Amino acid sequence: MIVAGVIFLIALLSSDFWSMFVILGGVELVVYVLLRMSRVRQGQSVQRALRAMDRRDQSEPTLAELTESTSGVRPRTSFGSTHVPVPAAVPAPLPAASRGRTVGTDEFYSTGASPKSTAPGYALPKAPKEAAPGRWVPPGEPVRVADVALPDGMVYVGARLDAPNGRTSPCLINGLLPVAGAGDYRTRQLGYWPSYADASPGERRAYLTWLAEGRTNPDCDIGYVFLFFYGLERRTILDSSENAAAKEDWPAIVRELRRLLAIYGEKSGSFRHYAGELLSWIELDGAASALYKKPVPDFPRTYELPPYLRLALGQAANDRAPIPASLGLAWVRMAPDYRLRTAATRCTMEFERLFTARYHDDLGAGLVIPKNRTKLKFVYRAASAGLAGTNISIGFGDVPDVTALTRPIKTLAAIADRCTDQLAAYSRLVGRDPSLADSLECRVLLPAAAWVAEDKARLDALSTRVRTGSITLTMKELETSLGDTGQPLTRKGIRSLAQLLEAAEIGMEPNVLGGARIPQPEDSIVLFEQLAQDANVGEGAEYQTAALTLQMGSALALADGKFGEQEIGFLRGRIDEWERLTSAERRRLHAHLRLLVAGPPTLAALKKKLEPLTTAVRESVAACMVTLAQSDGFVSPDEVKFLEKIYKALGIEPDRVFSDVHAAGTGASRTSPAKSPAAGIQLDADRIAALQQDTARVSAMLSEIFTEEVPDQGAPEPVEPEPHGQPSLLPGLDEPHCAFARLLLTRPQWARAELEDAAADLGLMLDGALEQINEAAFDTLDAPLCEGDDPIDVDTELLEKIEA
Amino acid sequence: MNAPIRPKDRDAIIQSLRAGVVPRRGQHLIQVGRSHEVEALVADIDRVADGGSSFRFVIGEYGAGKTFFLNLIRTIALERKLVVANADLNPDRRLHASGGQARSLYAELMRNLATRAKPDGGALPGTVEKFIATAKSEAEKQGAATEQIVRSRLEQLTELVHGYDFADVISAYCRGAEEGNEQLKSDAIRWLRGEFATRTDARAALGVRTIVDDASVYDQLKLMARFVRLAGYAGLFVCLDELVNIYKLASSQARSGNYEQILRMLNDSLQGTSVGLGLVLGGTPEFLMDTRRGVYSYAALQSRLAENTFAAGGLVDYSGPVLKLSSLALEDFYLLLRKIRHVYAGGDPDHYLLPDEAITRFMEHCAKRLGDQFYRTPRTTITSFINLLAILEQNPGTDWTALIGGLDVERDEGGKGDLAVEPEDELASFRL
Repeated sequence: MIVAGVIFLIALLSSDFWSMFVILGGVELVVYVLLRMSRVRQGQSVQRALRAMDRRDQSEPTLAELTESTSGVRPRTSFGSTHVPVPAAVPAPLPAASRGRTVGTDEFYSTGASPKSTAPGYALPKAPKEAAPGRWVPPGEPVRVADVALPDGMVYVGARLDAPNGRTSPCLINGLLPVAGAGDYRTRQLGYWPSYADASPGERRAYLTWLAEGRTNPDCDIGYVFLFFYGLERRTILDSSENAAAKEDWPAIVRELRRLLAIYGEKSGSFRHYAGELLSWIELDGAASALYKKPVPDFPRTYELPPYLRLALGQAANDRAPIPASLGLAWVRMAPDYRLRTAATRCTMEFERLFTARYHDDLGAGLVIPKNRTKLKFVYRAASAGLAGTNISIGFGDVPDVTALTRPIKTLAAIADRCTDQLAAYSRLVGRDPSLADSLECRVLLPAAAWVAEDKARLDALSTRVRTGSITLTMKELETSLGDTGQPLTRKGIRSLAQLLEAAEIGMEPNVLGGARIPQPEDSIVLFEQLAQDANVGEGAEYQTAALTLQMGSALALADGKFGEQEIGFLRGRIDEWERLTSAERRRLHAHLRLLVAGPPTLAALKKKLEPLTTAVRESVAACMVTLAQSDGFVSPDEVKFLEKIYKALGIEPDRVFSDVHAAGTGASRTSPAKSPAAGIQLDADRIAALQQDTARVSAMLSEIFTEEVPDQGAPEPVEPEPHGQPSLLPGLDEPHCAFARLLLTRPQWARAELEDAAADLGLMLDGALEQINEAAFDTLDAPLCEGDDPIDVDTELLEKIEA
Repeated sequence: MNAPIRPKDRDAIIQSLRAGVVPRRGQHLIQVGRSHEVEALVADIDRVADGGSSFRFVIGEYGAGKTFFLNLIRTIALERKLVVANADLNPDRRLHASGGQARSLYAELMRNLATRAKPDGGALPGTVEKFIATAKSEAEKQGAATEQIVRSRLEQLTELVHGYDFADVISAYCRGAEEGNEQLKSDAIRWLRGEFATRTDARAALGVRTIVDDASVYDQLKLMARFVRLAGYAGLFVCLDELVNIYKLASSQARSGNYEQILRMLNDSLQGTSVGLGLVLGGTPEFLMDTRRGVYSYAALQSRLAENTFAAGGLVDYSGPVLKLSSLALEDFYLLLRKIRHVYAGGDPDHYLLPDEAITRFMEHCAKRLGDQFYRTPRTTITSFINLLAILEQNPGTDWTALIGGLDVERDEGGKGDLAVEPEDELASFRL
């Protein structure tokens, strides 16, 4: 009759008994009671349904079977075990409304099934003797509750399971409790401290459905997740403290926690926190010393630094050991008072690599944190109401709690901020189009330190090549050598690439960062070694002028068809000669020259750049050009033409080209440095000496020709003691001429007509005779005998010499 | 350096310089440096004297001393018993033309034909007569007619263009001399000087069918070169100055015609076919290098003038056809002034009118007045230097320091004319 009473009560509770019956068809116990009790209408159909269920039961154990076969791993109450669905089996006691009762147990492990948990508020005479004790269904073991098959276990099922607070453990799925026919786990129904026992049948149905579906639906209300989590928590904290074997489930629990975190962690900070705490608990169990040397497990980010990290960091502080980068990174990630920005969270791997690199850059082996005085203690605050109030904690000796320090995290945060900034561009691009993540276009936005190892190796190889000497290659080749075979880089990409190379101490010509034209894939570029502190070279006016000179020079050098070695050599020499250039600028200029040799610019392209130059600079550029044209020994007409164009472009009178080329050809040094008139004339003594020597040489040569010094002062010294014979007045003259010469010497001046007659008399032609006589006079006396045409003057003084 | 200087040379130099022109004699007394250049041309002269040929461009800026250098070379050539013809080109005297301008150049050259005995030109009759006189004495020895000897001697000329007529003209002169026919003699000289304008006149006067016309100027020069060798001279040396006038020609056709003539000369010289003929052409850098109007505009010529590609980096090749004269530097100018002082003192250091310091002061003064490039165009500064010396000479005891301060130095703007190019005919305009 008691049974009947109970049923009646249930019937009263349930407004629609039949519908409930259909839904809970699997609860044989109830059915059985019903059948026996009242032989109600439609008994036939119920029997049919029951039979069908029996058939199914052959494959899936019933709750009772399970209860019986379980090997007790925890303290069991000595309930008599019943076989098969027993009609005598009583429904579990109704949830007691013992609200005022609290358990103040200090020791959490002092659990034990408390038989007192009956519901005194009901007028039922007696609590059922045999309520199946709650038991842990290990992971992977299917179980059936009500009509729901739970495929994966990891829950507590049974009729009774006490919590340390003295009440029924909230996680326990009590199969005896009624379950509604429908329930939606998407709606928020459960209270703040959910409990299966306290839940409504509809909520129970919802919970069971969620469990049966594999605990995956992301829309599930977090209350159900917590309900499930309570079970895990209980298993981890309570069971394991009593029974070491329970720890065998930990790996599965960790997996499950992580899985849940992945689904629900974002949704609920609270869940994230509790799950994280539990994970830490597991990780911290039996934590060895020097945790910081081990890989850091993954924890959800909560408003507290995970205890595991705190321990690891504390140990590091204790050991005065540098914190490894991975631990530092974990700290930054988990630190409650520092939040990583999108770039760092979106591009996790890149951030990790970059952070690791920068961390070591800044801190060497790692950050060493001082040992502070706050001691670390891990107090586990349970999520489950069942564990509330219990003091669950682990002490760690004198390991300090580093979270009390602010300096280290600030240091790390600064590094992280820097890394995030460096990732920003990359992150934005990847955010727009995630498929680009591996392309070079994207990668160049990253600092090299954030590159994948193999790509980094490629860059390093390139860097090594450049160390041994500048290299010329096409843009395409460069991209390929960096591991990209897809789309050529965009303009922006090339600029980023240049920045990247600059950071890797590789300079690139053309200087795209300095505003040079972006090279096409087929265009040549030159890579050269450029120290990090030399970045930004190429901004100065001096450099610009020099570069411009080189550009014009190469255009000019090509004017005669080929870029000769001498011309290259000349330009190289110029680079080294230019004053006021730093060595870095020179290096870049040399690379620039290499580039120019590969592809000289046209003059038209240079014209615009010439405009801002001052006149003095223009002049010096022009002078350099002229010397260059001269450098291969010959200024070809093409070069002259080109020089004219250059002069015109420079705004210098093109006619000056010739003079300047000429001056350069005769030795540019001859234009000695003439100071301003005020400074006075500065004569170059060395040059004067050299010139005097030269002059002496030429004078000697000339005096040989002009035989200047014959006799001294015209002293009538007989230079040629001639055979003073009559016929030869002057040697080399024949008789008529001699006679004519004698005649000439008789007068100082003759009229031409007179001499013509005289010559005719002698059978001579006047001009010819005079010519011959004078010639002979020159030969002998170094002076002509007569001069003039009409009248003809005779140097009678010569007679003295002749006579002598 | 301390050898006395003949007053005649001294006066010649001082007067020329004072007038702002290049002295005709005694250049060697004030030659500063340039030993390599002089050496190169002396070698040319010797080659010509040996029956070879030579061709040079002497290229230099305005004021670099081209004319001085050419005159020096001319004097050396005379000294080496060469016959020298020199002329300046101008718009009416060119190497090639159709309106008689080339003949005019030839006439000028012949008028200026000089020998050592007649260094101031007008030596053509003397040369011809010398040739005939030697033929005559030869004839007397052999007992043959002079004209016959002349003919046989001129035999080798006839293989050249116009050689027959040239021989005819010489014979006519010979005839005229023997017959006392002055008209015939002067007609022959006129023909040789290229002064016959028409063939008809020449035929009437001398019986020859050709005259020296625009097209045959260079051929005549080659004939003349051979002829003077026959007359007993070492060879003919032709100095043409102011070639920039070709550059200035407006018509490109006219320019290339002239460059073609230069190319012929160059080719003949390089091949050695012009016997005993040396050519020196003086011009400015633009004349050589301007790719539109200058020598470089004429591709064939340009390629032959290609400079020695080994003469780079401070090495200089003085044997190429282009001889470059550098403009005067400050130090050159300083030494030049010292030389002038030396010449002025007649070669006696005791008579120096100025100390070295005064020269420097003078240069500073010029720099102040004319800018720091004053020494590049030395004409006016040298004139005023000589003026200074003259005043000091005539007013002994005057303080030179005061004089220098008040000295007036004119700017030499002559160089600008070199660049003034004749406007193209069709674009010419004039204003009243």
